[in-house]
Amino acid sequence: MTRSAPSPDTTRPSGTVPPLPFADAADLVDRILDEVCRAVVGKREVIRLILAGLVADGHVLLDDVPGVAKTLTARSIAAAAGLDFSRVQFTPDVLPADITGSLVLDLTTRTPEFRPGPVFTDLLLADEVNRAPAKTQAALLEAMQERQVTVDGVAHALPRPFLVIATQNPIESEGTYPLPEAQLDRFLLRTTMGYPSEADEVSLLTERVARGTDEVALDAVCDPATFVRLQRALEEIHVDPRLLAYSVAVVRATRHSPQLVVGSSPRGTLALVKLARAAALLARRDHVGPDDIRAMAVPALAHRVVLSDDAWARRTDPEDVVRRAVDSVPVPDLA
Amino acid sequence: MTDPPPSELIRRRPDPRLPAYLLAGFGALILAVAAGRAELAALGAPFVALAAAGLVRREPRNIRGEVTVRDDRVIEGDEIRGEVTLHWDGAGEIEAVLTAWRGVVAVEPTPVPGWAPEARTGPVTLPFRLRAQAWGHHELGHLWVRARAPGGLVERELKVAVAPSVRVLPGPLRLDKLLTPREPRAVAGQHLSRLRGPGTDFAELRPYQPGDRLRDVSWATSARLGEPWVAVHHPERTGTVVILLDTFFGDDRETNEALARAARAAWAVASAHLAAQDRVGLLARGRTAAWVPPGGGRRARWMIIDQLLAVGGAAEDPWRRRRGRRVVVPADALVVGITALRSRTYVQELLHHRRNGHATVALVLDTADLLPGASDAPGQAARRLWFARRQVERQVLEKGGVSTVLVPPDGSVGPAVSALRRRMGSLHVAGAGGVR
Amino acid sequence: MSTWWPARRLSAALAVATALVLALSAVGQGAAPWYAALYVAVAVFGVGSPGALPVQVVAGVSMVAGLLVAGASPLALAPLVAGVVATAELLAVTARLDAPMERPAGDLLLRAGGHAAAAGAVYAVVLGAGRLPGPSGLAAVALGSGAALVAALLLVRRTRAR
Repeated sequence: MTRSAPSPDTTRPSGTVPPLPFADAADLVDRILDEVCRAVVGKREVIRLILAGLVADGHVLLDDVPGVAKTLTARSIAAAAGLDFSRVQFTPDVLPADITGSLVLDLTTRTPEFRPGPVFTDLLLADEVNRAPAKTQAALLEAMQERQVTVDGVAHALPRPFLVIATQNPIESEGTYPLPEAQLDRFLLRTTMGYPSEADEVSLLTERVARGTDEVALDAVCDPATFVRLQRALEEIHVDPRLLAYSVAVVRATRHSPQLVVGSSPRGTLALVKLARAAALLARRDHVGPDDIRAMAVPALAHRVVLSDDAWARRTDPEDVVRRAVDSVPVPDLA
Repeated sequence: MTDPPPSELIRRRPDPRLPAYLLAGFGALILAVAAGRAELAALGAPFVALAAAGLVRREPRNIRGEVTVRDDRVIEGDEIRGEVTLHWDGAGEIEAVLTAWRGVVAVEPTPVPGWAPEARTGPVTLPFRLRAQAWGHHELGHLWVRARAPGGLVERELKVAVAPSVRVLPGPLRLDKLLTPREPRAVAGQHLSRLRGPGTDFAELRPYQPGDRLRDVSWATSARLGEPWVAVHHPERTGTVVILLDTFFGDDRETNEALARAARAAWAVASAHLAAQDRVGLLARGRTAAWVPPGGGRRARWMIIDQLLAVGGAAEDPWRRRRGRRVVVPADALVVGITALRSRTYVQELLHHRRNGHATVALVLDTADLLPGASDAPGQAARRLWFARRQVERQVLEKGGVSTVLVPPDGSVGPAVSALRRRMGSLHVAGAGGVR
Repeated sequence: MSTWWPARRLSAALAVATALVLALSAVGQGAAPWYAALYVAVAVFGVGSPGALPVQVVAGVSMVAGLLVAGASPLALAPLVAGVVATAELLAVTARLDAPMERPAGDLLLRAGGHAAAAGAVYAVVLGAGRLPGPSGLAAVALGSGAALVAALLLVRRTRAR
């Protein structure tokens, strides 16, 4: 596993911080997006979605095959946003302590000393999380949820922001431990990177040849404290009460789908509204529109639902089920 | 979208009018010369002209097609929707038929998946609907095309594409009848992982090494010896079982009986281990492991049948004959093979896992009653050869360290597994020990 | 599975009817009744067996040739020539509609009628050409037949070359 400068810095701003003004927030998120797209070619829409999730202070799950720039995307976002970055490659023998850190006996002083794990960072890339045993997954998920790590009774707060991009290889392989459906709820959104288009792949190669190196040097356009203020700016994005009711109706529609044995929980409703606000900010709007909710429904909800056995047997795609649920709810007229 | 592959010309056939017109036309001309009658030449001329006109028409070229289905896995009784797409260059009269499908029936309004599109130029897309009648692995046949120029007198028949196959899972009622868990607990808890790791059973004491957990420090021992020592524990008893499915059954496709027996045996093993909180994976030749949901249930049973159907469930896949990349199973897994021992490559697969250090056993399904009856000497000799070969394969496995036991045709796995448990006792001793 | 779609039944009925009309016309022109009946029987047989189509055409052409040699007016036999072609075309349509799926046959039937009309016209034109000043007798026949043969061979070669 690789780490860069883990620092459980409790002196960073946390709790209530003043949000960035809307215009500044919109500019900042655009600059981060543009900077990341210098390194990751042809994935602007996916990166926009991932960035929306991170700005909404949520964790992101990427389901995709190897080699589609998942690590590059995470590293580039961290570099552009000025965040500390760590990467953990999950394997079947990774233990919980390898993630959270552990007490180690200092042989010279004979006293225990806490060695923080890679989770003490701003942006953690948890690669192939479905290759780790359930206990290790639980340790990570608990850290994601609680934003602190407890080792031998002592709680260690994680820095702010603390964001996780976890990846799963969808092709089942030896020793995989698929994340339980109940745990997938911890992720604000799930998406895939996908392969680039033919034109983008050619452009990628052309730029690489012209550049002469694999790495693209990115400039940090902000720092962690500013990123937290950017996240707080979402609270200033207005959501019409009718759209809140619309979000609830969409989520409730998933609970009534005959193809689902479990629909989305209220956590899904919260996630949907958060993502819709982030989408509005990325579109430089200070208010959420119905299209934001429709656009974010699948990434926010598809991983929170459980297919019925019949639907699973028929290879029904949960995303199609969520789409149908969205289409079944009439869009409110805000005029 | 990539272009469909080229077609295979099967035959070129003249329209019955062509020889008729040529015969009549030239016959009349010859008769005119012989008889010196100009009117007879006039009689032959129209037929010659019609034949020539039918031959000069340009045929449609570069005919390609493909068959796609929306779902390649359905449940009994479901509708299968698909499309035939045909491409060709030039003008042509095209007729297409999807032939030789099994296990499915066409749904109205198209009683038979055959089309004569009115369009004279391609591409055309032709939807079809079929209904899955019986569970199993079903081929949807081949796409055949007859093509000729508009008004032409020569017709070509081409085999254009092979339709994809469809896996039909048994409906819920049939599934319950097929795979009712009635077997006692299997070989659960009888094997130890080779790993030492966090568990509760004490294994040994050793000096502290950097990286050891503080909670593992044995303070009493450390105080006595003046140096930090840690206690190492055996891993937890919850283990991993990988069921290696053999999907080669010869030609028993029609009854699915052999598949059903394999599924019952697999389910008996899987359900028992799931009940014992073990992780259960399914591995069919050429496919990576699918992990059975811990709760078992209908999805787990469907998963077993799906894995069995996935590689055809019948004829040996020529892909298997290559020594391709083998999938690695977890180091601590018990490998349970379920096989009718009709495939030599499967035997090699089991031996490979044994050589890799996995505890490996094989449940051999007795499918002798499914063999066709032998009334003559060659047939009886073939049966004897079949039995002999199976015995040889079992001996190869036993020599290689893979315990085998025969599962009788009635599918009662319990006695077979009990016999295996007795042998697993020796594996229990042999498998323990050795720090990873 | 039955493949006697409605369109196939129609074309078969039209083929037999055309053969009957042609046979009756031929008898009116002086053909032997037994031969005309044989022609109709062959046509009926051809409905179920496409291999009989060459026999039907040859039988029809022979019948017309016999009338020509017997001294019937050549131009008056043009409808009979068209009738032989029409029967053959309709039998071919019947054979073509023998398929596991139903297909529309309107274009095929129209084409059959067109071919029959064209055959009658070609017959009449070649007859008329034969009466034009120029080589006569055997030379004319040889010239005309040779020209037709060469043209046909050239067309076939051109088709094969594509």
